[in-house]
Amino acid sequence: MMTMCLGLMGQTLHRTTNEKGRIGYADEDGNIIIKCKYMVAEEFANGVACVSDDGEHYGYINERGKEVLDIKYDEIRPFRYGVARVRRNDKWGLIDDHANLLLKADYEFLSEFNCYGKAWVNKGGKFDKEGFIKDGEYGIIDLQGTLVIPCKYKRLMEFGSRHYDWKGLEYDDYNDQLDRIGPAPSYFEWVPTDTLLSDCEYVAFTNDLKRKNNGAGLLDKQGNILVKEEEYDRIYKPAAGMMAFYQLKGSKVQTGYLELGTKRKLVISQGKVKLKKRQGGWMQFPDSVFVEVFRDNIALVHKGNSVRYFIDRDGNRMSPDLRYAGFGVDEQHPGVWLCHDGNTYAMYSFGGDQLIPFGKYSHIDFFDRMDATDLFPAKYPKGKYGVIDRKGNTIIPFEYDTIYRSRYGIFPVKVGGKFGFVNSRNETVIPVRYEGLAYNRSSQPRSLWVKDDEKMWHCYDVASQRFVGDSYLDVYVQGDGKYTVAVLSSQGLQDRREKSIVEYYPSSVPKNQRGLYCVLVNEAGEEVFSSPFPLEQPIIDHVIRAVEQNGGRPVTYGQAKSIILRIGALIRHHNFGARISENDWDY
Amino acid sequence: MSIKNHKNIARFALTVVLSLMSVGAIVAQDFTSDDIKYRRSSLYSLLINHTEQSFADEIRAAYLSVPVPDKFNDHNLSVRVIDMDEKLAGARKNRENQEITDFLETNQVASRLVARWFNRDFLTGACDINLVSERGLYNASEIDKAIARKSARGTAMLADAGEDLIGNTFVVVNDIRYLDKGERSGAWGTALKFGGTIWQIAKVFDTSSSSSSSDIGDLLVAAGEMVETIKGFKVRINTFLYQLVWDDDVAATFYDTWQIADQNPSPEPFNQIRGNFHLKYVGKVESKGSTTSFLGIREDQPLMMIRKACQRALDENIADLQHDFEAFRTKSPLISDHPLRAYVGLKEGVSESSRFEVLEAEEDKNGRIVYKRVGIIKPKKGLVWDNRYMAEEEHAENATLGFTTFEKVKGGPFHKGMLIREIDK
Repeated sequence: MMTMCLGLMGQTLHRTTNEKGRIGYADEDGNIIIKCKYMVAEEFANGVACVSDDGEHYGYINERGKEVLDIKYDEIRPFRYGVARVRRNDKWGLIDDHANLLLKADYEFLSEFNCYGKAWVNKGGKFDKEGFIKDGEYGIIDLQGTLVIPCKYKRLMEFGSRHYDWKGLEYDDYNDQLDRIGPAPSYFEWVPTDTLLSDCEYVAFTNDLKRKNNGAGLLDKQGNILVKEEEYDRIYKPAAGMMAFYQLKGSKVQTGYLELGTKRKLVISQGKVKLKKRQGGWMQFPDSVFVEVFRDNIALVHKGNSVRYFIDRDGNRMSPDLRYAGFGVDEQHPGVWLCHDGNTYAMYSFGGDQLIPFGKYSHIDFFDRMDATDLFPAKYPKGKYGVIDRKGNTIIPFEYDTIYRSRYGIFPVKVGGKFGFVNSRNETVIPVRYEGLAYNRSSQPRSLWVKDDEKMWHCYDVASQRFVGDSYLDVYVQGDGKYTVAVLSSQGLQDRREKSIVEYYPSSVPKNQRGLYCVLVNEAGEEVFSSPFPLEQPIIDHVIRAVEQNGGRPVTYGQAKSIILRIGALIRHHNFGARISENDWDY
Repeated sequence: MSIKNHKNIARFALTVVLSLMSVGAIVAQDFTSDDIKYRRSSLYSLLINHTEQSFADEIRAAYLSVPVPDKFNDHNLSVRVIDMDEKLAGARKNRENQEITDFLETNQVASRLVARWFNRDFLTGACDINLVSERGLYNASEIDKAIARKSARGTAMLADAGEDLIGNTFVVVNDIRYLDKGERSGAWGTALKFGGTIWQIAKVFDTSSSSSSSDIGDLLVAAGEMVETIKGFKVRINTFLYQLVWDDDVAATFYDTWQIADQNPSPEPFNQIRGNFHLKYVGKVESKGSTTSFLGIREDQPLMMIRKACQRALDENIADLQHDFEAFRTKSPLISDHPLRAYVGLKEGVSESSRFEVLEAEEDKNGRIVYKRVGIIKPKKGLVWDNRYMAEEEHAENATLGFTTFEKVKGGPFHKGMLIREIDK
């Protein structure tokens, strides 16, 4: 018996249908292994197959035909992350991909799982006419079907970034950089999603819907209550073990942090404020203190609109008053704060170390996502620009009028009103003698564009260190820089014998768009496509795709015409009885 | 929450679904025979769109979203749809339709198909061999060199290309009629007015492009009403098949003008001989006009029903034409030799009683590729793949097989990569 079972398990079963149209399963030799008795039967996967006797109720059988999930479910959703949602009598449950029941179908709603393996459930709610679930209680489950946050909260709220809320879960995206959540006063924008967005390391909750979001409590990912309801008016996403809060009672406001591990409360400011209502339905605390989340060991505190300073985890001031502070971070480099005190710039690590002191540089330039070189253009007060690293070491000497942010190690520089490029060893990539520069911002550029003193643009091939291709009136570098749309001058146009292409327009091109002449240029400076009308982005995308389908080879006029005609195929009409115009044929 | 918010939700949901569908389509593409290189016939398909009938715009949009069957090379020209505001006389008669033949001749379609083969530039008359080499699986520079040497191999290559590739260029002209449901079409017309422009409709069909959420949202307003009206949507398609005439005389005429254009760039020499190229009528078939199941159609995407009905009928006609006309039969590679499997199925008209010859490609002494029959195979019982459009979505039996499994009737041995072609039973 055991041997027979093993043999059975090892072979592949395929569906087969009898003369009555009922489905069963046969082995590769056509022997019927499971009787043809089902109306619906899917192929086996993981040793189980979904079947239905009547087309209305579904379940799973194993390779011996035994029901492993009762054939009683009204719906079984597709598997995702190894689990599938099942519905019976309008209630949802969960099975795994071996058809084991993980969660009984007892919930009014069960969302899709997100990439962190979390989904939300509602018990006792009702759907309104618009399809929104209302009332009931919410919880969160994991892929094992475990209720990591029990289903007992009237509202759960994720700490948002760019996304918001739907069907009972709410996100506050007043300022996504600050990752704050919570009650009014705040600005809400609603965008739908019925899946969770985060790993739910922390989730806010409330059971008093009249209060809206005010006074939300805080849960950790195991469902432990870290902050009770109404303890604070407004809470922020915890970071580095610290949770920022606001406490508003009448006209008294208190701001600060709660260290979640020790429950130590760090009050940063308290006093009386006058609430001010602003257009758009949200309010602010005038002249009050506003605290940001901790990033490692320091956090930024805003005092009124113009003063900022850092504090450490004990509330000690870590910097003088600042006019500006912004941070940059990328995958390769630890985050740093760039700060401005009104006169000079400094740089702090997230750990609180002062990397570059105030007083030396009147400008330091960096982006919120740092350049992979981790080098920053900087300027001496009343002096020239150079490039420094995060320790303040000079990488490019301070001898340029302006140096712009680098892209992949190449710095655009300006001297005496002229532009050029240097690399991080201060070697000339393109001499400083041009009127303008254009280059892509997202990948290693093989070519760069410069404008000469006759206002014409040229393509400079970085690899061969020479100019390639023609000259153009204007250029627009596309996406990753592999292609550039270049506009021909009237002279350039006259130089081309194929001027007649300008006179050809498909009927889909409006008259007011006829007359310009653009070309698409690849990184090697080759013209790969000529367009008889302005290339707008949707068309450019089609054209680039066509060029790439052509193996990157230049597209002939014939192919160009074909591409344009095909883009407009849906809106062009031809009469069966008449000879079709040559302009509407591509070949 | 306002009504506007709810609309946003619907828009978002559908946008996500479309994105997922497009990903699905890409994945599915990985499993087609596109990955296996073999010579295919080339196909240009035209629609006669009857503007006086209901659903004309939707049928037009659906037709343009139907891809060329993967057993063929896409040889479409820029004109895909021709409008007609009445019925096509004699469309259902089983003989050549003179109006269609006249249209193809008047518009010199045969010359355009040849020009497309050689990527002819309409301004300069310049041609190249890139498409011939790509579809013929030749090395382009090798052909050029061989031609320059006037070697037997070069001549054979071109002749081979001519016979096996260019001469196997077909035109199908599809006359699609919506089988009117009376009051149902009236209700649809009303509903569609909410739906927006034909561009928006096209975006719903075109799952490869990202539709703007506002377009989708507007369509959804009418979606609920459409569902009931669209169930049972039926079309009847008459498909007329033509084949490009490409013999030694025609080829010589073409190569002469190519040489002239090479020496003195001009479109004129070719334009003057366009009348020398012709199509020959092969035959016609009519789809059964059977009802297509609504199964698998999402209720918020009722327009997919039109695509499904049209595509099923078009596939049916292509399969029937292959049954009826040997010249139009396509080859498909064996993707596995043990067991014998190929990417053909119900879409291509395969049934358990079908028989296929297995062909082995050989080079003759002149370097031409010839196909030799090495055996016959038939589908295994219960293992014919249902690869019809949306078969998986409607949970059709065998829709998920991914291939049809065959068994030997005679001959062999068979190897992966050998080509199979249906034969008369």
